[in-house]
Amino acid sequence: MQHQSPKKMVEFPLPWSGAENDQTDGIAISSRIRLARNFASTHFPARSDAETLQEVWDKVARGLQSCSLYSSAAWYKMATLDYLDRQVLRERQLISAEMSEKTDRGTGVVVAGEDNVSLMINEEDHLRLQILGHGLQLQNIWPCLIKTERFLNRIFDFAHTEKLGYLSACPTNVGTGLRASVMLHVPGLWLTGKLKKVYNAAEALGLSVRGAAGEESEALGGICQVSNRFTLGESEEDILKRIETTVRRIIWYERNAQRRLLRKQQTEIYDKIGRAYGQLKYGYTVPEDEAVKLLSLVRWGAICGLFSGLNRVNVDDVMRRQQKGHLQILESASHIGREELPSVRGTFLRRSLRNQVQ
Amino acid sequence: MQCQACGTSPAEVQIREIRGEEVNTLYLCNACAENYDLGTSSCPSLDEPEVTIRLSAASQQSESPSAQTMPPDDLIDDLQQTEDSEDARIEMYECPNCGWTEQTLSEKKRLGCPECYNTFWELLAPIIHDWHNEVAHKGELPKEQEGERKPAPPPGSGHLERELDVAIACEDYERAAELRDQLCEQENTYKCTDQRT
Repeated sequence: MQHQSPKKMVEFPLPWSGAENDQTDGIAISSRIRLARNFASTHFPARSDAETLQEVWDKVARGLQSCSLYSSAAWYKMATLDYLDRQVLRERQLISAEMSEKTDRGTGVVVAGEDNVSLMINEEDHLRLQILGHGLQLQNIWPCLIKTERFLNRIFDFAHTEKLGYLSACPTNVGTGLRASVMLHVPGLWLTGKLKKVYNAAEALGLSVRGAAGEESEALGGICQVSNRFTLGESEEDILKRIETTVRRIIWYERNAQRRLLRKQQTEIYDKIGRAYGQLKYGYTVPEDEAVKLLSLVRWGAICGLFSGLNRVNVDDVMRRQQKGHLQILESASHIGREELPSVRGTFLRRSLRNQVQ
Repeated sequence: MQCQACGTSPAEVQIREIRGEEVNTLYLCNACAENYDLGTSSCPSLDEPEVTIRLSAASQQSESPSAQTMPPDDLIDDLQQTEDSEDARIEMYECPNCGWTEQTLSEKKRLGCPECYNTFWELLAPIIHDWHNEVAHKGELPKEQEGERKPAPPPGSGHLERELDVAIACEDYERAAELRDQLCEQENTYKCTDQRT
């Protein structure tokens, strides 16, 4: 899918928000893998001047001409994108927070596939290849990513040593350069206050758990992502297997927590969900953090079948559209100030839930 | 210049003694310098100095005619310059490929180029070890290089060598000695196997 500008993406659902083949009852939202690579004979981006960054961009553009996956890709240079374009790319997880701040010549992103494949050029590393999939399917999306990487590896000379593997600008990514994560929705663990235990257990297994917005962010409404901490000393397949095993374990705990809550405190839980729904449907000013927490509860309610005409995919779509970049474009409110956003969101949420629930 | 202790051999070593604000400088030959010791000094005028700075003068300086006639103050300046340039070299420690210095590294928290891994390895090794709990890559590598790996290295040797680097960088000499022994043992086994094949 080739969009003239990232703003055009907002009309389309997230390619990884489907419900098909989901065996996790909606607990695993999406899977993501990225690989970091650097050219052997070029300084890393932090040490490169504008001319070198442009050379890297041109080199990648030439190299990808013969790659079928990127034949109909959209190329976006950060210097030509405005705030909303960047925000949309970030909200759709196609670029990182760091990339969204960049304005240097030669930095940008290539978006390919069904908008689920991206290649960041001159972020922290020269190349960051990424693929996204719905639910828990790290091992299913890995072959596509490694196929692309091997293609690039044949045409480019990537910095590596036999002992340290692929060399990255930050030593925390050295080795495989692989970072994989699974986004989870765990309202049961969140409401029972057991998220901290999950954090600690994952940490002990060499994994990190953090909020949906990335490093240092809070797991609002029990929406969190589990990712590998180490990139060295383990093969790519082993890293992916380890994350999947841990995630399956967390899903098992979440199912148990949900069952226990619904068995022992069903009325209280349904009351919480109903009140959250009411706040969203009738509220007038809703800040983003609050919207995520409330939608998290409504999502659980939708999975439990509490609302006729509102299923999980509908809630995920509302969740996507209420993010500030998407919201400003969809509500033709690109000119408004930050302080007015909660009321725009309130209007949007009232309308969305009124239209979707019978 | 003659040794100030024996008065016969040429001075090759400069010793500066600091007592409070008073600085005494001695020029000794190698033999007298060897016997010179704090508190048991053979030189009666130099008892128990508070601080002693001992600077080896380069032997070629004493051998060259100009050094032998060099006035003491100039010699001190010359030695001081040597000392300063040593310090300067450490401060200016930088990647020969990209010019990234230790200071830039700590400010930016990023490396400047692939060569920085070699340049700053002593600094990076403990960080990498602490972060990853491992120091040997076990994942994908470019196909060409995999094909070039001949003859095959002894199994696990890369891992041990890297661990040895880390142990040295972390000043864990006990572990370093163990690893060195393991490496030697492995090398011998490998040689034997290699000779048989």
